Amino acid sequence: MKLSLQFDKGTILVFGAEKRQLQYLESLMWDERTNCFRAPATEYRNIVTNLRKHKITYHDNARKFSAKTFPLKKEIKPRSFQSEAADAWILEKRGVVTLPTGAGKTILAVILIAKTGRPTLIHVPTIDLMGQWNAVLNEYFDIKIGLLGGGINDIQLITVATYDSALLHVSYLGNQFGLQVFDECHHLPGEQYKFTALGSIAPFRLGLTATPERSDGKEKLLYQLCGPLCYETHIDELSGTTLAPYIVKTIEVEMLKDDREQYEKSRKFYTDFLVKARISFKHPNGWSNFLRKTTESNEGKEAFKAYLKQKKLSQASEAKEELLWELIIKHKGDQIIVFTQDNEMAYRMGSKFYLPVLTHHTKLAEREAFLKAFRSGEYSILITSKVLNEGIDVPEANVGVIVSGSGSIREHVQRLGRILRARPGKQALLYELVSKGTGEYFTNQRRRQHRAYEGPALLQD
Amino acid sequence: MLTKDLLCFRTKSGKIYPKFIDPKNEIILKFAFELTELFSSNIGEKRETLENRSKIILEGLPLSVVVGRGLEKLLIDRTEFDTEIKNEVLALREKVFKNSSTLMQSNAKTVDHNSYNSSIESLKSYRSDLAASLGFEPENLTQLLYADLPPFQKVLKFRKINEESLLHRYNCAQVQGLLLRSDSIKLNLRNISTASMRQLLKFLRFNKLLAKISFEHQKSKSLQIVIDGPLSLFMHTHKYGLNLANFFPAVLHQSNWKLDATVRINKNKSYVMQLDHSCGIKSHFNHFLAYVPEEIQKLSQQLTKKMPDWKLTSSNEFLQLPGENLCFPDYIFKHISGKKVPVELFHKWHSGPLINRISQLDEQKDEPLIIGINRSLLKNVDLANKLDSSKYFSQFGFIFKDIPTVTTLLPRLESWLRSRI
Repeated sequence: MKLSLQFDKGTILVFGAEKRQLQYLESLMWDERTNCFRAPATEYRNIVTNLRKHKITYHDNARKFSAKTFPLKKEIKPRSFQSEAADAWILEKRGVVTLPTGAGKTILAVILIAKTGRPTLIHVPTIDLMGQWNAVLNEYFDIKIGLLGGGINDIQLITVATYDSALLHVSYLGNQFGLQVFDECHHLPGEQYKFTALGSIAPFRLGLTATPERSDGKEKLLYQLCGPLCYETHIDELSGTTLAPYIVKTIEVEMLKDDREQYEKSRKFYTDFLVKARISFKHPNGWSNFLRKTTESNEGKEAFKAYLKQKKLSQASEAKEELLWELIIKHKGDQIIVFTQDNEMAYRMGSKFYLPVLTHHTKLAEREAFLKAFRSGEYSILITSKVLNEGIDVPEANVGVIVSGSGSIREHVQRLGRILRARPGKQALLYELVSKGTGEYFTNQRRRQHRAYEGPALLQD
Repeated sequence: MLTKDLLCFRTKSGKIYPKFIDPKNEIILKFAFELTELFSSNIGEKRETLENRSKIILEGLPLSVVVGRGLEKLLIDRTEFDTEIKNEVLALREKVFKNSSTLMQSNAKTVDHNSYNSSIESLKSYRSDLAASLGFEPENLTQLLYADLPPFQKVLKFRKINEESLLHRYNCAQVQGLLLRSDSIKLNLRNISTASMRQLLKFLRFNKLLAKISFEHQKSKSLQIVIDGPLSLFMHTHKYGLNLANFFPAVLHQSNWKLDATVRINKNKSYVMQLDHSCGIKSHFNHFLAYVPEEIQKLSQQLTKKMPDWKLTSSNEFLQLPGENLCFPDYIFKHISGKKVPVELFHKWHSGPLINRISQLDEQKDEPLIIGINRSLLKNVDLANKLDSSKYFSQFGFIFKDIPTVTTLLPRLESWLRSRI
């Protein structure tokens, strides 16, 4: 029997392999459960390359795609760094390209999809990005673009999927695409998302991100799944040319008297409990110990409430709200995005200032209407918690206000990236509001450990 | 399913023990009753109201708050909220934001940036001007602007559950929550009932899991099943944790079982979870054995009309094939002479198992069963060639389109009957 390959739920089954051939197929393992050889689907490229190299004939029942041509409707004149990135990737047709937000990652992908000429599955982290990619792909390709996610299941030769939906369908769709594009590919090494790459036979893979670094150090896995880092350039290298020049301004905000008293009281109760219960957050299990101990007694329950209260006050004190109002008025005529740490805070400010709030609760039609009104200048302010952190294209935004955020470097760089899309004469300004004399100061220090926050563009109030 | 923060367990000497609650404890049953009654009787109320009332009940629960929140989570999972888009709220927002844009621009002109009071005053006048332009008080407008957020959604439906079942569901969810973080299950079954075993294997397939089945003691019908997924061969992975968790309630229907699973609850440390039927958890799969697929019902009706000598019965038997391979036929056809013919079907997603089965049957000396193959499988050239060259298939195999029909089955049944005379 001739050797044959078959796709099975994210793996490749190999039938009819002779003993002497197995030496060329190192990734195969004998599967007693099904009595056949099996390999992860991602090994397809290696398996086929080795079979060809050693002139072993085979039936390929695994691959359900073939070469296509995707002519472009209109010409793209790539910027020099886009051409360099495309040339670097096309050598192996695998690899990660690191470009800052606003540098034209989507256009680079369009160029490479057309050059590669294989059915393509594009992975994006959010529904908003799915819509944005769909719009760009429709602008350049003369074929129907498929969508997978947000209740839509329409598979076409070029399809945009959310990571979540792609993960759900990889068992069935893992053999239908020759090229996988991973937008915001720093998500890919996640415990579950990695299976969208592992379970696919796609021989060609393109990872796109502004920030490949991960706090868990799993960048290595990213390069295994997508291919090595083949091109990178940074915000500060493109600032003033491809990206708008920017200033980051940190304002320490003094809490109002009442807030300060409540903060100190809550903070003391919470830290006293930590000492009494011998909990140290330097210990790896410190946080889970704290959570456990706060459920064991009434004092613990109160300590947990106190912890939440002091955190909430430092992130969203009344003084910050008042300062935000001042900034809104000061920047009359500017397009402002306000970032908060969570939805509750975003809606509180939205309800108080009567402003549009964009979170994951915002339904698709309304979020598109908000973005359209913002882009057209009809709305000059958008408040958001996390959904605008990544990818969404709002080139009109020139002022960002971080009312509160996490200690994540990536989140901070991504938020800065939202206001950097270049326009003639644009000067971007990012405000960070930090409650003076609170734990928020340290959170702020942690998230600024990136080259985008170094140099003369940084101001301290 | 319960999230990690709602799991209750203890660890000791490398083992992990889920903390169950006693489903017979009258005090806990009383709380569970109050909770289920609350959810049943609050249809039409706001989610926020329901959750506040639930909190009041749970404050009296003489157990950890995590237990209470776990019970509440399971009830919320059974509750349907009104998430429909509220056009009146959308329209209000649109008006408010249009007005706010205009007003904000004009308001800005009057602010002195160096004066704190000026800033506060400008906010006050902005709020009252904008609210008045739409006929509201400022605070009233603040309340209404985002009145379609989850806390304000109405309760539409609640799938009822009695208090004891809720406590069993909670215990089951504790195990499921740990299985979510496991890479495989080892299951030992004794005195297996073939009908429930067959259903168990159906659930395996339904959850896209794979199993290595081996006999411990053939006579006493004792099996060991190691359950994981296709990629488990290459890596320890939690990818199939959700599938294993969804599969677990099917295990509870076996009479004598023992389960071993390795659970990684923290990043770097694994624990062994061991459970058996003595845990006493009742499954919430109420109709585990009673379910009869629609296609079997249709085929049975056709048989009665066109093949009066044959009767379709549910398959309560499994066959042992070469090696340690087990086959659980889909149907058993019983002839009036008393002879029984097992029939196994292969659908379009079964090409791998079909190749194995053909190889096994071609090695058989007798004819243990008839096999039916979905036509779409023939698109696989290798498989089509293998079927062409299979003596067994030419005599005891048939091809069907959607479901087997009497016309395709009858010749094979008769052929099998002749071979037995």
